Amino acid sequence: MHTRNFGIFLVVASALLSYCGSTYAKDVDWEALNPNLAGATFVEDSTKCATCHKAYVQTYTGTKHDRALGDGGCESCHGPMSKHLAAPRKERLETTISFGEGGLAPHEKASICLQCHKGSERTYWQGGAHEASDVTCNSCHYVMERRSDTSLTIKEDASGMCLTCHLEKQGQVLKSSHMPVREGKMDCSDCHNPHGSYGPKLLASATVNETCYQCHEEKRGPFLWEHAPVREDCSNCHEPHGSNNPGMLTNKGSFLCLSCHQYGGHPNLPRYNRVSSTVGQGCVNCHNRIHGSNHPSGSKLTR
Amino acid sequence: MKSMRYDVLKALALVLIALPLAVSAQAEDPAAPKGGEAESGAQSAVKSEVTVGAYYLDDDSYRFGKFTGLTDEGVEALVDFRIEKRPQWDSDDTIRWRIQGWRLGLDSRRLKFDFNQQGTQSFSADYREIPNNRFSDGLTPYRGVGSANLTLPSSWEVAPGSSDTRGFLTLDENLASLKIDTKRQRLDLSYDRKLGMGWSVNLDYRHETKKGERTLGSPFGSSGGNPRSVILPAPVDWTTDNIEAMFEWGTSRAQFGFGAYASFFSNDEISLTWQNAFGRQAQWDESVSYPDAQGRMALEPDNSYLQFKAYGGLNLGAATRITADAAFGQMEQDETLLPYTINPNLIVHTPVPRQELDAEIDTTMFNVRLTTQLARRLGIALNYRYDDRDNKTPRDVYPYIGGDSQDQRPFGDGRINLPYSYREQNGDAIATYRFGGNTRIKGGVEYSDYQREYSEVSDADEWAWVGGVKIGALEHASFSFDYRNASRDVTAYIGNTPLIESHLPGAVEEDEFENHPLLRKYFLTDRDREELRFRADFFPAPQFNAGLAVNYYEDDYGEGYFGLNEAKVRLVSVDLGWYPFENVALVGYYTREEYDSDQSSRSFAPGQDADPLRNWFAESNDDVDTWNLSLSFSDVGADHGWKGFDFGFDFTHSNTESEIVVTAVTLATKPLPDLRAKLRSVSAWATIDVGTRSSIRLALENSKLDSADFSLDNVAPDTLANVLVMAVSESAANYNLILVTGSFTYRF
Repeated sequence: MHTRNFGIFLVVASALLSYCGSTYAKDVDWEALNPNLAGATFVEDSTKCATCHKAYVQTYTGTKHDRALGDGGCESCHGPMSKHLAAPRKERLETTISFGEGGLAPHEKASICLQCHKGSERTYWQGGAHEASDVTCNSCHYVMERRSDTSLTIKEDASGMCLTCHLEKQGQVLKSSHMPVREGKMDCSDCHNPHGSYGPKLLASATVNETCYQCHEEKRGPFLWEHAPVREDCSNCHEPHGSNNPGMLTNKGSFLCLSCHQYGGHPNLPRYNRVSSTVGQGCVNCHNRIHGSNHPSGSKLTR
Repeated sequence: MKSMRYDVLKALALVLIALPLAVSAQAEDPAAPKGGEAESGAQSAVKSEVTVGAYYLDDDSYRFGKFTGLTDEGVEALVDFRIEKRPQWDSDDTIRWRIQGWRLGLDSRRLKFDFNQQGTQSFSADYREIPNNRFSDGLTPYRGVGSANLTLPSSWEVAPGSSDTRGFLTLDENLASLKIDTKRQRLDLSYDRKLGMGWSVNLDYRHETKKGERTLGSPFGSSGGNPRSVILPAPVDWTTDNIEAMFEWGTSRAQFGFGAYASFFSNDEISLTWQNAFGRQAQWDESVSYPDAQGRMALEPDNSYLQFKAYGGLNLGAATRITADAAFGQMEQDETLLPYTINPNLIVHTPVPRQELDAEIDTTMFNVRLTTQLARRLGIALNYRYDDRDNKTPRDVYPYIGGDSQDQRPFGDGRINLPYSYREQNGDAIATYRFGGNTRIKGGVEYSDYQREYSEVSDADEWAWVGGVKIGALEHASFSFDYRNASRDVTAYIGNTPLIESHLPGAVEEDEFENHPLLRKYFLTDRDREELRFRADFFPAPQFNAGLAVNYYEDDYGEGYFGLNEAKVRLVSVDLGWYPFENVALVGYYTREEYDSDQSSRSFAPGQDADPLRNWFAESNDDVDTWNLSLSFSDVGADHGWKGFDFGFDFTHSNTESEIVVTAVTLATKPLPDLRAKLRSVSAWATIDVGTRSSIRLALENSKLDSADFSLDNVAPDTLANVLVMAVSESAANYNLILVTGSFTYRF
């Protein structure tokens, strides 16, 4: 009975959403992207493209897109080709959709890929940080040739691809305290969704903490005694891309704690004029439950 | 409850494994040619690749192999493999699968299986081991390492009348070496299936264990100069199961999805118990000293998280899109609470108020985004975000016992737990106007509102304006510049709110405080933030490109208060790529990072809080220089019949110099030693094909780490009077070693 109801729900929901979509939307407007395509029609014969673009067609053949799109493959992304095929050779570039530099604006290029790749993890592409910075699909992916094992990325090393633009992170992942990105045990995409997200900083989860909890579930709690900045945002104290302080802390442990804790009579560096309170684990020599304590006597985060 | 939960999870995992296998068996049929056509096997070759070889390390280094497991001097096996079936391009077969293994001879091994029936379904199983080595030469007098009950050897002696580390008479002979490390073992299963009519389902499951040891500071006593602590090797024995199921529907015009995520964390050890190493401190109860007293701390409790979520996206015409999502979650934790103390001789007049905490945080998240092209050149993006964390954990009075050392505090002086809740709302509107040739300007405004409970700041808001320009119309260069200026304002900063809220009414005076009243916590208080990013790219010739990036961030927390006063980050990066010939590439980068922060405080005892002569200031400066240069040659000697001969060189150097300068008005200060971390790696590698099916790879790397950290290096266990630290020698971190890698790859 439940299966049947669920099936009815799927059918009704599909019909409703299809109606909404078809009422208000249409696929790529090729003429808007390139006015020279006005009146052009789809030829649906990729073999004609091979006449001039032999090398491209050769490497494209057998790729995922070739298999999925078949004879109309070229036109799926480059637009209707009738005018391109009929144009004199020197005018042919003007009668197609080119993904090279100086052609379409980045968001226009992306709109072509999004014909088929909307939804799921790309739901938030439009308006996302990468789109706003003029990154487009072919900044990271290449569909004309298989250059990597997964996702048609332009490089096998996905994180290396990110670091090409995010230069400052290259230095950070080399720091003495870092996540195992350069050792190949993590990718940038373990925490970030480069296709856009509803969280900050293109995070794959809704918040910084929810992202961290994907691997550090033990810190999720809730605890009896909470540490307010920990509950709110792990990056209040940690620099996840790498730091030269143990535990990827943003500052030397004791000084980080002293930014927010200045109790009267409590150990405090200049007062004691010695390095002792920073030795070992610093304040955490005693306040070991810094992420929260579940002990009835743990209000000072020492139990 | 727990066993049922795991039974359910196991059943789900089995279904997840069995489902695609069963379906894949069926899936072969439609793809198989009919009526005597060539068999799919003939069209879809299975290709295999096996790589065997060895790593040779000329020295031990626990640090070098921190995440790889390559730690010991000598030879380790290198075993990688890959077996793959891909359909021929003109085949009707839609199925491909791949089995891969990496680093099978090391502790960082990985095995992965991928199955994909294009356009129908896919499945993957990914097993990973991830070591995390901290150090191998720790020293501790405790026995029972690996368990949750640590004891001292029978020969442990404490000098009569001593209450600090100077009284440990038999410390040296009782120190035993130990390693501190953990290892994750993770299995990820994922299954995607197209259901037809635009629907699809995605199931993900992860099972992970993390085992090993970590360090935990473990004190007796809690205030008034009476704490004594030891750094203990505490056990890590954690298990996590995560599962996510999403149903999605989509066309090119509208998309919709809903599903659930569940996560269960389990800790095999509820607490850590240890024997007190110290002689009796005068403020402790008479029973609290070696050899009889024990301490006990709570370890991370079991917890769970369940979240339901849904999203949708709709294109309103070719130029407008609206997306929205909602997520409702619940974090729960119902571990049995420990007693106030493990010490039976201490007086406990009030029992723990509840058996289990029944902690709960409800999470609510909404997001809406509208993007539209008002004209071909003008686009606008509007965002709204609502994030609410409602902590419903019950509040009770806990008259605590200070570090298993004193009788229970009076009920009226007990602490009430503070289940912090917060709500954050963000909105922004950004407009972008595009000129021709990828040139654009953008600008907009952002607004954030923060509301918190039990906090020094209950309400804060932040306005920011952003602007940027990108010039991409030039033939051989492009430039971009982005600027953001934000100002956070709080309605009021009441520093003793947490102190008052954590006590019974009337127990704390209105003007009483723990932190100095002039302290402003940086994550809560007023802040002016400035961000600037500049990027220039040059590509004067097809063979050459260069880039320059400059980033500047400044947080200003205002004058006249203690805490973090100012933080600045300056980043400069230069990168280049030179490709003089088709088979030669020279790429490199240089980055300079400068992190500066200023903080201030007042060192005060009761009655001294108003004395500005007791102010002190700390300036922290981190300067990081990183160089990298890589030169590679490919297909060298192809004209002379050599095949697949590639070789290259790589140089990386990262140098960090850190200093913390402490000054004071009148108090005597003493400079802290500098902190240093220099990492240098030089490597050369070459590969060459041997015949048509095999190749050889050789790599040589010299890697050197030279770091200095005064808080860890050569710190004897009894350096501090009140803390027995876990000594780590400098050699634990530093290394200068050579890694030789040789491998043979055979393809068939």
